[in-house]
Amino acid sequence: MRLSRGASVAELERVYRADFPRFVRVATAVAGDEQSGADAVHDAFVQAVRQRRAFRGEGPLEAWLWRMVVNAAKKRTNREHVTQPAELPGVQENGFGDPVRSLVASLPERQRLALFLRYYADLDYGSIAAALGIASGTVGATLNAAHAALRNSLEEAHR
Amino acid sequence: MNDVKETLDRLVPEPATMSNWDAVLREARPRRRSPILQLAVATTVAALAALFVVAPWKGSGRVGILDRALAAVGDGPVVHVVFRGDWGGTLVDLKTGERKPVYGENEIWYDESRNLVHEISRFGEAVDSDEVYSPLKPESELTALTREYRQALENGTAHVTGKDTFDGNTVYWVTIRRLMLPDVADRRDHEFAEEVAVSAETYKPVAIRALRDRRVFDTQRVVKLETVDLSQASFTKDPEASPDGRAMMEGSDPIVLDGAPDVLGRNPLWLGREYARLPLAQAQEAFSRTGSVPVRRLVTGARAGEIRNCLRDRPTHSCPRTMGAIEQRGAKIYEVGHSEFGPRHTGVTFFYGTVGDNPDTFAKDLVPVWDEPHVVVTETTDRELRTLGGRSMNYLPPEGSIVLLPGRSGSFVRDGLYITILATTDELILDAARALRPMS
Repeated sequence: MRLSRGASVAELERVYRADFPRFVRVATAVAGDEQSGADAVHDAFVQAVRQRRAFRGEGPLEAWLWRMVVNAAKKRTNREHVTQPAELPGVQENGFGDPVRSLVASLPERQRLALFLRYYADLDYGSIAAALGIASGTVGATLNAAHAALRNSLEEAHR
Repeated sequence: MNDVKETLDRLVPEPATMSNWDAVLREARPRRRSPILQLAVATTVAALAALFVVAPWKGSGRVGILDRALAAVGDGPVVHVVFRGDWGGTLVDLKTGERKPVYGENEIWYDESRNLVHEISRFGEAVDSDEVYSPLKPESELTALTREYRQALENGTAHVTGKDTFDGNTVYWVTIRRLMLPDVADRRDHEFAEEVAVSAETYKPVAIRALRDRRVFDTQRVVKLETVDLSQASFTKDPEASPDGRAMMEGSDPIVLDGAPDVLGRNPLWLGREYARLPLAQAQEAFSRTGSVPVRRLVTGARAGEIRNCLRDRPTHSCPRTMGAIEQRGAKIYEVGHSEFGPRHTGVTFFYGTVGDNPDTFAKDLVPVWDEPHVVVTETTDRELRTLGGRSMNYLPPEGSIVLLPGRSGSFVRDGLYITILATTDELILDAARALRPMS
């Protein structure tokens, strides 16, 4: 409904409680570790509560919040002087984890963020577009490029 | 794509961090203004409250500006203040174009002894939200600064800086604090000061401002400031206006144009099949439902142990997805239920602009493209629908006027219809509001 403007605290709380793990997971992927990711989600929702009247309502509230979380996570990455792209969290060694991790980290930022939002947040293309502030038509192409790069890397790692 | 998914799952496992909404609210609520301005607000409240307690003129035989200001407020234990924020709108007469501001205000009752705040936000005098809460004790600027400033005032460090004109009225600026603080941005010390403008006529405070290196960087109007007895104070929120415990859902679905009157229940107002060179690209049924936020239930016994084990063993053992509905507060584990929603409220939206293909379904021309020029008219006869999603819309502009809000939206009432217009520019909103006509 577009009759009104702003988001209520209750709406923000609903989204926060419903999607907290997904927010943290994406923010972790962006910021580099789970503590920074959780802090970024906290920062984003603090800002969301303070700025809730600025939510215009022309897109889903969730998309607005995803954008804030991604931005907060990026800010944390910058604040902590982590060389871009952020180092992804450690994983169990499996013979191909390191190359893939490096590859994901070295993807162009838009591809990397689209990938995180697609797989960690289960967002559809429209929501990814809204969260990243890009045209929805470019999300598919962005993900395809990321998938192709990752698949190549996986195949090479398995050889 | 399973290989990619599996790889990404390994890269960032499911997080173990528990949500903490209370911490979000604690940090967000007391700091709606910039830290320095907030400092100034809090210190102003505290200082003026303190002045009435310490009564510094006693025994001096001198009645000065500060003395009169103190006398104008009172000496009660509860501070009552109304700040005028910068989040208001503009009321525009659609015939004459005359404009006047619609103010957003925060009214605060603060009881330091109970560490209790009652904060009411209003837009155009209509209540936007109404909350009662306790700020964190150690971090409560109000509490800490009340003490600090009481001491400062007892020591006589507050002083009149000069005479000025503010909003057309003669005022005295009273400096209540000046100190050097480091700025992490340039790692240098800067002089920060807080000043209160006191009316030369009533000696009541009318504004506070924060200065850095003697340059004003934030000013806030004080509509009212007094200290009162507990019996005169208000610490009961209006449950109807409180956002606590309320949840809502909203959305819109495309409809055939001919179906718009049936959805609205009457003849809609529209802008024709094209407006401002923008085609009518889509008609939609807009809807919302309100309900309660999910119920939180304490988990005990074996189930609680199972959840704790699951959390503790991460990341070697993944927890089930249902863990998303779990909250941990200290040692306690809670499960969060689902929201239950009431009846559906509906309205009609006319989208003028560009629509694009839906990337999920590949359906052609279904999704509004907000990046392109657009005019979007939403109307309803359902007042319940109007109030959902943003409580600022509790304010109703007088018939024949529209209230413009930051973010390029305008709302008004015409012929029993509650109408909101979103557009690329404010002028486009005003033109569209004037151009609306019956659909048939």
